[in-house]
Amino acid sequence: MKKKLKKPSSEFWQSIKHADKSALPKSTTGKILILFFVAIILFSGHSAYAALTCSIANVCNSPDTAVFKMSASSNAHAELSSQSNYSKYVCCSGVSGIGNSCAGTSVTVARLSSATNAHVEENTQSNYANNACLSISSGTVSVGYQNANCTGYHTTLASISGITNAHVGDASAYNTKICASATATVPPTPPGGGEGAEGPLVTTGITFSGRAYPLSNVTILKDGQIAITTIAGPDASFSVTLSNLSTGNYTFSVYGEDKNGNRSTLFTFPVFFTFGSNTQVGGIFLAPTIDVDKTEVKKGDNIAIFGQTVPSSDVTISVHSDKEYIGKIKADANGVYLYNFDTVPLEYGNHDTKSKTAFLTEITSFGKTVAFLVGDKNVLKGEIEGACTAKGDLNGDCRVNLIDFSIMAFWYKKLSPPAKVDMNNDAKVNIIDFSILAYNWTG
Amino acid sequence: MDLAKIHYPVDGDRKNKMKKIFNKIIILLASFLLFTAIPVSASQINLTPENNQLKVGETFEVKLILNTEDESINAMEATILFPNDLLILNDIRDGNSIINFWIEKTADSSGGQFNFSGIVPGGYIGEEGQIISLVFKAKKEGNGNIEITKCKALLNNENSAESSLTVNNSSFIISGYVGAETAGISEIKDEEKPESFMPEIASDENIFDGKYFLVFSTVDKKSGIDHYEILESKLSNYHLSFGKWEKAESPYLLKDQKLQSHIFIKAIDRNENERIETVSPRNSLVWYKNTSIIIYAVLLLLLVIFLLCIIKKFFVKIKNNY
Repeated sequence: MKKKLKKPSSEFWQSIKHADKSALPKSTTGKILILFFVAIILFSGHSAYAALTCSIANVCNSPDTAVFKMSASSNAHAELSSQSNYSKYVCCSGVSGIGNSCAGTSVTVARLSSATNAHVEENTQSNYANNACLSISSGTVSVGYQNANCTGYHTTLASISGITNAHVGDASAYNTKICASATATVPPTPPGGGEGAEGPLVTTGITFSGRAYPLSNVTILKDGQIAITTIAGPDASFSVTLSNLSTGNYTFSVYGEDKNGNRSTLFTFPVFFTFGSNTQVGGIFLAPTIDVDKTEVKKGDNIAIFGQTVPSSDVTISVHSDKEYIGKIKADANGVYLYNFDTVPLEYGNHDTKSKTAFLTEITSFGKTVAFLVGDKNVLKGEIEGACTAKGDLNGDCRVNLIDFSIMAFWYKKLSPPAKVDMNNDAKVNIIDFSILAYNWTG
Repeated sequence: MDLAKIHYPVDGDRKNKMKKIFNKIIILLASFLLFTAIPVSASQINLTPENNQLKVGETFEVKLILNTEDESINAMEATILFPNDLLILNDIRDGNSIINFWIEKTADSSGGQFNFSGIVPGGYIGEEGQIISLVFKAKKEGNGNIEITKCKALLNNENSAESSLTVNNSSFIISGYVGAETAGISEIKDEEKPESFMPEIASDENIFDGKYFLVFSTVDKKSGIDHYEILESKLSNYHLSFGKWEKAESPYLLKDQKLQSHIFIKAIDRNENERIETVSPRNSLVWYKNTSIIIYAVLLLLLVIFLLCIIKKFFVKIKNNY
């Protein structure tokens, strides 16, 4: 039934005309421009919360997170985010649940010499005890240091002048960049569902505890990929918990990285989780790291064999070729050991050395094997040699991970593979090359 | 036993008898020494069917299980052969596998074989490591074997030496036809998304001519990953994107080599649960260079103009009516 409309008064039309003229610009172009800018603002605002983004800012309001603060944009000192002396914030945003806690799922972005007015060092070093961290409530977070750019990471946090005792600056100040990525485990859910459940079915967790090296980075791999990192205490002990796991079979690996960037062998074990279980894996005792000061040693001269382990522990060093020579030494209060081996009894040629540690009633297995040559001259090992020369690091990012696996998989069973992909120099990429990669894996 | 103290009789027959006994003792001793010299520790790989008495039309599952016998194994490859005249390979289940990264996983059902290779970083030590599970359907009556060939398991050490492997195959009998009451193997109930993962952009001179590529990998502990899809978009919300999701494998050569796009990677499990991860553009575009934003803005603008026109017409109509 149609309702008869009451005829509007002439004042009504006057008011519409008046309102129309006052609300909009006189020209149609003006109207279009306003609408255009409204649309742009709408869309640019939408993209603001896509992924981890960090920048230097004068303010860093919640929910954005200040990871640490700097005294200036370049040649600066740093302070922890809890301090309030500096005005340049390394401010991160874009991923839900990020924070600057050093607990839970977190990584150390940099170590500071003090809470404020501090020099910084990379998280692989252990000279400083104040950690600036990036954390996430649920998801994954990673930090790395790269030259020139942050290829492979979401964002650049800042840059530093050196590995340790360094000044900080914004992304363009120094060549060494502090890079980070973070991904929340709760992605945007489109209307209509169909993406599967997340919450109630994943309540399983696992706690790892044991001994690594004092103030060292300890990394936990879950099925070959970095799940969480933590830092061992001054007594080398560590404990870290991983939660929100599904039921099923997992392979976990643990490794430590000493103050020189040398890594331990992977300590790997399978775990089967049932629904809602909380598993404790204690007594992990990482084998000591090891390195030598020379790649070639003149027969009769000493070669220094050194590394890091638990403070005041007993280190057994094995030098072997045809015959095995055993040496014993005690690690110092920082877990560092140094054994000068006299090469007089060794034959000319290639030799290997490895070490293991005994502490209280626990003993590790032998760790990584390091090779050296007994010859007619001394050749010192380069400073940068070490972690970055690991076999399997095909793209030279100091890690052996999915990227290297993908490069190798690209050449699997193909003709004329590049020399660096063919690990065992047999002119083909096959399962043996992958095994070498898996042995040197860092995640 | 002190052989030097054995007394030899002078009599010929008795002498021959004693010699035979002596030879037997020597053989026994040699055998004993030989067998004790063989290392007892060797990895085993076993095909374990849930049922090997089958009926035509019945489905059954065969698991490939690794028992490392205290060795640490970090890489494996093998081919599994099955009689394709008797069996159809219906499904490959890798959801609960000890293999973390697959190099190859190809099935040729008509050719009667399944090839795989993969790695376990850090190595696997255990007695019941499930590598993969194959689901077969019995085609017709007959007897047959499912066999493992070309199998290699490599040790997790600096030499990547090959483990001495013991292989245990599986046999089956297909007799009779499946009745209405006979149930096949159960479907896997999986309502969970694949696990979260962190895709990474990389470039290397040895792959894709140094162009940027994306690597990604995740697992689904129940039904397993079915496939991945990728969408590259200038917009940060994939619902608004003009682009289409495309099936992809890692490593994936990025279309946008300027790295100005948001990259969405969708992992889809065999029960069609999805997880989407995002990689934000490394070199973000300013808004006026982002064609997608401009197109959306123009569309929005046209929509607003259209609405304004309708409103204007509406009021003109009302005015004319009066």
